[in-house]
Amino acid sequence: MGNHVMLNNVDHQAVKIITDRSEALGDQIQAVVTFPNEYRAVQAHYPIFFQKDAQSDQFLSVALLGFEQGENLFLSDQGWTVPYIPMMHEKGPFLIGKKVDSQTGEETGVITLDMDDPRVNETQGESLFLEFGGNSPYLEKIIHILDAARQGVEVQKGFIDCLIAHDLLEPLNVDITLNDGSENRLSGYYVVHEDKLKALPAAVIKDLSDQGFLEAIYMTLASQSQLQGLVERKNAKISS
Amino acid sequence: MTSDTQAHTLIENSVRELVDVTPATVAEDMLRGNQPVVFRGLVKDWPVVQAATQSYERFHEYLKALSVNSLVNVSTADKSPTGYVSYNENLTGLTAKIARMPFDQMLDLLSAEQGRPNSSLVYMGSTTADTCLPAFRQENDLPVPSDHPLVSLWLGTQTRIPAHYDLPDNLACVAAGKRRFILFPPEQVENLYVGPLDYTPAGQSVSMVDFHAIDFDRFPKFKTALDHAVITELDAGDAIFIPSMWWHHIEGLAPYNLLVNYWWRQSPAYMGPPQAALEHALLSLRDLPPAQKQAWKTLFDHYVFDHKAENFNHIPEEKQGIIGPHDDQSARRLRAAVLQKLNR
Repeated sequence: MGNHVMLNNVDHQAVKIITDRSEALGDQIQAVVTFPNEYRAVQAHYPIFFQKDAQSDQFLSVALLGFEQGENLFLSDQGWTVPYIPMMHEKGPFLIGKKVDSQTGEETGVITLDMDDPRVNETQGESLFLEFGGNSPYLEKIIHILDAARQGVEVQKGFIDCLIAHDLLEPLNVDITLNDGSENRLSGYYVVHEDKLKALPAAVIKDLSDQGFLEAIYMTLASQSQLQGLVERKNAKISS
Repeated sequence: MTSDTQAHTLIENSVRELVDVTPATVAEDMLRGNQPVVFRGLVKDWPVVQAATQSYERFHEYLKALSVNSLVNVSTADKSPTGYVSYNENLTGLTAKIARMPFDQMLDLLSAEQGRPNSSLVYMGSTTADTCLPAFRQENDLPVPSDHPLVSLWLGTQTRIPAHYDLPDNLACVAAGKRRFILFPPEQVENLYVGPLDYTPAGQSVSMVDFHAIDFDRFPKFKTALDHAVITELDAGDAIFIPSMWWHHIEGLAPYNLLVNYWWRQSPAYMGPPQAALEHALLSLRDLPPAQKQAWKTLFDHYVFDHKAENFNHIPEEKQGIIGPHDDQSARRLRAAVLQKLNR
């Protein structure tokens, strides 16, 4: 849950954010939620699978980073080894919150900062604010990411509702034999059922295309080839 | 409470009145001068006015029939039977609290106060008509000199809103009840004892003078303000034009009051809020050494307040840049440049 407070340029004028990537800073994660508006960048490096969120019982899409809990095969001693980090992780200790005006009841978006996050400190990393209180380039980047994530949440909901409406999700079961001879089964994830997709009437395909969902579907299908890369990373890890 | 501490008993001048103005001609009449004007009976034919004039029950039925039960912000106050919506004594809080509720619930609260000798405050201020009562303007509307005026409803028991100004021009129509307006020209600001700019009861800075119990020891210059004030009382069907930037203190005097007002600006939408320029000036100009401040005053007069296009004829038109005429494209570029300079 953390200790989220509303970000402001008075209380947090000295705050810096460590942007290095390491286990100690919370980067050892197996998967990150990802959204259709970043699939193009994500599928270049990570497999995108669908998963049922245990808390909400809703499907969401994730970028897979490892095979076990707490395993990020993209993290090395030198940091993150590919250039794109899914935005829900890239955003760091920030969230978009809502501030309700006690007088009018009006809601405005605010940025919150988790003061308990190990990245938050006052000595190293990126400053949030300029000398006289303006936004630093880093904070502007975070605002951009948070805004994209907020849009992604909305797009994602419509996208997944659509996949479910057309019964396009099927469970994925992949057996993986690693170089050490161990046999492993990847389960609990879902992918788009390609045969069902191809069998959809032309009008439905047109509709999916108009909403941008067809592109998103093919991005997830293309991303499956990254699973092989993930296995290679795993093999490299167990042989080292 | 003696009458010589009540503002409305101390003002000699009334707001100028125009008769025989009809909804069809009001727009033109209004823009003749930058002075407040009362239009008697301007909206007397509105169905809402007819209903309100008959009885509370008819008025209630009329609004209820138009209601889509949208959520509205409603001020209530148990300890403010006079309906004063302002700061408490020490500015540590406000005299009223705001809750969000369905419009029908607001109507129930209003009904509960009818016929009570000391009614409590129930007040729905500044609520967009088209979202609150989407069909209201089909039957009750006026042409104003703008394609997209902001049309708002103000419904409540007896209320008293401290003197403040608004940026847009304002045509305020009393649709139910009775309302008293006390107006001051913009230059009276120094005599009105205006409260904080950034901590306000409802968005705008307000005079801290309680017009029902004026403390002349604390606010001696308010006497001068009263000398420059104009006053009027409007019944259902009457309307008043309040020019942009004029200070206005508004009281709902009847057990139930509805005001419908039109706000519009006589300036392009790309222009920024002047208040932002004032706030930036507080940050960047006010505390300069006196001689420098004086120099900037001269520059502001030259470029802004006393701007004359012919003063810049020595610069080729295409090189006049930000001192030349603006349009929505040049405004975008200037806004970006200002944003960048502010971010430091």
